[in-house]
Amino acid sequence: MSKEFTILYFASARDAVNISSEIISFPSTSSSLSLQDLTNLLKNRHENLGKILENSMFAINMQYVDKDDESIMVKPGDEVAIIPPVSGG
Amino acid sequence: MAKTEKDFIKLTSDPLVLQNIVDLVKDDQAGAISTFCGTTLVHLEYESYIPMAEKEISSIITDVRTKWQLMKIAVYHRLGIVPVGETSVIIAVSSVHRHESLKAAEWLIDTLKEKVPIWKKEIYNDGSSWKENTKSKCC
Repeated sequence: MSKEFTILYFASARDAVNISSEIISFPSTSSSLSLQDLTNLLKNRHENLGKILENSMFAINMQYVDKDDESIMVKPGDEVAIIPPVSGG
Repeated sequence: MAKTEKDFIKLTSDPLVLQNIVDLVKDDQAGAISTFCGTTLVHLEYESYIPMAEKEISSIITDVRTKWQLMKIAVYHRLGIVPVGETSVIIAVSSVHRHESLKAAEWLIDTLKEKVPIWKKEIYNDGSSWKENTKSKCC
């Protein structure tokens, strides 16, 4: 079974990539990705996304994660969301 | 979505009716019900990462209950198109005395605006633009 994770795009991120979600396979050599690896992977897939990623949070399985925490890894089956600055209320 | 019978959380494309939400938090022991209504000044469209938003609202309700002694709490947020002058969010809190529910309602709307994954864009005749809350958790 291939190793994959799901990525969700909201608001300005969705507008930039023109899709609301996609399923991404891990690079053949690994079954986990650091947040820095994830950022690089997404920038390579979507050239419009770079600036938005700088200003966005990540949530993994509906939990905000600290972008600077190098110990956090995306694993197979995870649901990763790009959370641009929120504007509820 | 009700976490317990004391908490009422809903994200909905239906118009919000204040009295219905006040009725949810009425309690025989509550001498005070405090409410906050957010009203749109421009034509807006809201979207949300709904399951995470419900989880975050539930989490901030857990937090607010550690700060003040409260009876019932309702947090309702509208999604989709909200025309000018309509209500986009209602928070209602009941407590024995007014101080607790007044403070809690303010803290709940401030924290919702900072943390909950809901977004709005202003809709113009010739386009639209995403908004950012000033204390949004990011960056």
